[in-house]
Amino acid sequence: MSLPPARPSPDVSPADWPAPPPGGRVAVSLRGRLFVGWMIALGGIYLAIVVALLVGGLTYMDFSRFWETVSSPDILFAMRLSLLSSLTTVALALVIGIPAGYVLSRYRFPGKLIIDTLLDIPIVLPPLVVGVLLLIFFHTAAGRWIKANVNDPVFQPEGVVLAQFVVACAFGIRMIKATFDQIDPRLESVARTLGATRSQAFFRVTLPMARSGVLAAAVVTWARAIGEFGPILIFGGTMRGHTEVLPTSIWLELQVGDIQAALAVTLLMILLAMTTLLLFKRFGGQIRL
Amino acid sequence: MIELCDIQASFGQFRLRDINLRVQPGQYCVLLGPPGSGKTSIVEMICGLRAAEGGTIRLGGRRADGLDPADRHVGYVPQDYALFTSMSVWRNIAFGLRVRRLSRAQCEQRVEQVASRLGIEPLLGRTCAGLSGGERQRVALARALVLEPQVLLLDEPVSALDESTRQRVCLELRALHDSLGMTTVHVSHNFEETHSVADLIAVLNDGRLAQVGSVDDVFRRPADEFVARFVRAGNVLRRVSGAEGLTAALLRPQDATLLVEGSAVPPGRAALAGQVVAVQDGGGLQWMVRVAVADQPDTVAVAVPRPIDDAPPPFRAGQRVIVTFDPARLHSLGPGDGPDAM
Repeated sequence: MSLPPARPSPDVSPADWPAPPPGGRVAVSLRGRLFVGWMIALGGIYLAIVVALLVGGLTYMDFSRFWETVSSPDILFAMRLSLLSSLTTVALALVIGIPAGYVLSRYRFPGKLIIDTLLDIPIVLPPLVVGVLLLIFFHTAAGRWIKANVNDPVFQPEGVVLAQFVVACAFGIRMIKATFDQIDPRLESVARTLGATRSQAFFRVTLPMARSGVLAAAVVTWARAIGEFGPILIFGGTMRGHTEVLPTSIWLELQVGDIQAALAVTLLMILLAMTTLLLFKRFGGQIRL
Repeated sequence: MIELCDIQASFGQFRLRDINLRVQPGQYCVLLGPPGSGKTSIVEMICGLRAAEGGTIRLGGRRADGLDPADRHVGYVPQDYALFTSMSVWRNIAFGLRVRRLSRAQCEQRVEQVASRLGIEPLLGRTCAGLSGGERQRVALARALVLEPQVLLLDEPVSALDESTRQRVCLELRALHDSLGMTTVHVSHNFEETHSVADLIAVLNDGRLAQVGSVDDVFRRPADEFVARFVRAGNVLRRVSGAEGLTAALLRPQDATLLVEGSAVPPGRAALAGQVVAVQDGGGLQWMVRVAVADQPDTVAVAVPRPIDDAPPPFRAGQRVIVTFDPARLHSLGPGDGPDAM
């Protein structure tokens, strides 16, 4: 039997491709280097934009104002509410998003296409519009009933959570559905032949396998929630010490022309975001579902 | 015992029709057929993972149609083994035991027992990533067997293995079946791999059972042209003169003889004129001579005895010959799928 060609033809399967030399890196041709370089350069353009914005902000910041701003009672309140509301949103989004993503992934039912499309509406709509729709809903009969008998979230901290949830959950559902799409449904079938009920098959087999995807969905949902501005502005209001969150703090500071204060809160948000995201990426793999 | 009575089912464009199959307790049944013939669908209906639209399924004499998969006591090893990759090998095997809330000690004892029987104790602490095809198969088998099922369903258990090990693994599966005394259904698309292990063969063709019988029945007396071709029982001849009334018939290579063109055909024998296409090693002391015959869609294979000394074959490619045979040795094939099937 002859050796496979050095440059594999389309008819030669990857199993027959020549193995790399033992103990060393594979030699890369000039064409290969150009390809890799080109990919890095294109991807690097976006990285350069992000870094440029950060560097711009850092160089513009008057750091003598930074600590004064971020330690003020209003900003500390906004930071606490941002963290609390965004984490609550993530928890709610996972509780809702995991079943929703699972049903969309596993089952066929009448109207599935319409329902699937409706669930994407909050992603597509301008966030400000979501806030307007929330406000209008709570003026309808159903909304008034909820306000009277359950909770009145309009211009309340609960409204901040609701506004974040309505937008961010859609992202979570989309990612979780994609995760379940990747997991072979036959694994649950086999689990059932081994004695598991449907719910046991889901919780013991499918959900653990979906761990990384669910975690990624949690990260994206959190990032979206903590950065939400438009619907909170309309539906939660921007009352200092009551419904103020970090994005609306920035807006309020800009409204009064205090660029340095706005920038200080911006840098605080960047610091919060980077810390939380790094923690998710570093330790998220250890979370057991 | 497994009893399928008049099973009807449709899955999209595909339909299973009139499936009647009885596998006696302790029998090793091979469910044979080409890809897409419905073998896996039948196995999934026995497991309870698919529902039939009509007919009944009985397991151990008990009606199983409405039962959940968990209540059927069936061990199922799917084609791709479907190991739970988020779990170690030990946890995979112990999965069914833990669902049943057996104690840790009981789980360990039973897992060790079945792992020892299948020779996979060294794998117990490993993850499923990096296991070879044979190891994955044994883990999947252990996972099913640890629950001591009454029925074992194996969906193409050797198709993922390399050719050199398939026959050996089939024999190992049979040995395991014999030692455990279970009823086994083994799905396969390959008759050659499975005929040596089967007590019963059920041949499926396009959603219908073409034949159910022993290996001997299926190979020596195939029910129709499809079965004859699928198990490579012999030559399928069409509209043979001298054998009036037969639209298709099976002629074994060993039941035919070759004469040089112009030779006298012995009285009482049918004859087909043709031309030698190839002379191949027929295994053992025979050549297999392939002859292209007019009006026959396929070449006719004739087994020609081969002397012990290394004399060349008496026929060569291109030579005009006569294939002769006793018409009484033809086995009639009923209507079935094949080229120009009537």
